[in-house]
Amino acid sequence: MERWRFIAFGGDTSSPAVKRMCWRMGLAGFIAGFVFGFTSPDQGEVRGETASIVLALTLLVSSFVITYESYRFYAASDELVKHLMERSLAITGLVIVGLQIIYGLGQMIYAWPSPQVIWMAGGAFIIMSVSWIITAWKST
Amino acid sequence: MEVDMKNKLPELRGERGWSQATLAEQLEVSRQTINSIEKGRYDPSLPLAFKIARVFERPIEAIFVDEEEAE
Repeated sequence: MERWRFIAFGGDTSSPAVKRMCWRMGLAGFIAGFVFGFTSPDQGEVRGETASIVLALTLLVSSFVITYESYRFYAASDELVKHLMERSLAITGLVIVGLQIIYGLGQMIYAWPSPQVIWMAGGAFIIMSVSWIITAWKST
Repeated sequence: MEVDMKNKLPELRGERGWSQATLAEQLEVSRQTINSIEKGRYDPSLPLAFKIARVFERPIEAIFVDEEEAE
């Protein structure tokens, strides 16, 4: 159970850095998703210039919060968590580069359509989560 | 060249009656780190190995053993 909790929260859940990161990133992600749903250029309920400004500002602030909290979390983590984060990021990077090469070839040869940015971001998040689960499971 | 390493952390900890959490607190790492080191799933950094040696008042080589050399 404790091993799963470690994997799910990326570290020692009693640590203030982990608790802080979890709620702040969750809130930033929720707000960004909510605003994106209302202002999305294709399907959003709010349209026009205001929608673009609100969307841009929300994404800017939430990206800053997520990056800053990740940095704080990394800095406050012990060496095992740092080691696992670095390893899973390296695996994520390699997998993404591999997929990009395959997809690039597919676009050149078979004229595959360009995916939307939101799908690429979602895909990267899933790859990162899977690589974290595998590396953390193997090392704990 | 890979070195297989064994460690005597569980024995040394047991001798002192410390839990993993107690040792983790002294070393300022998470309990999971101690657990992973004891199970041999994670090799500690040199600074952490020195800290462990200091806590147990033993030289590093008395705690971490090269399996090949031990044979």
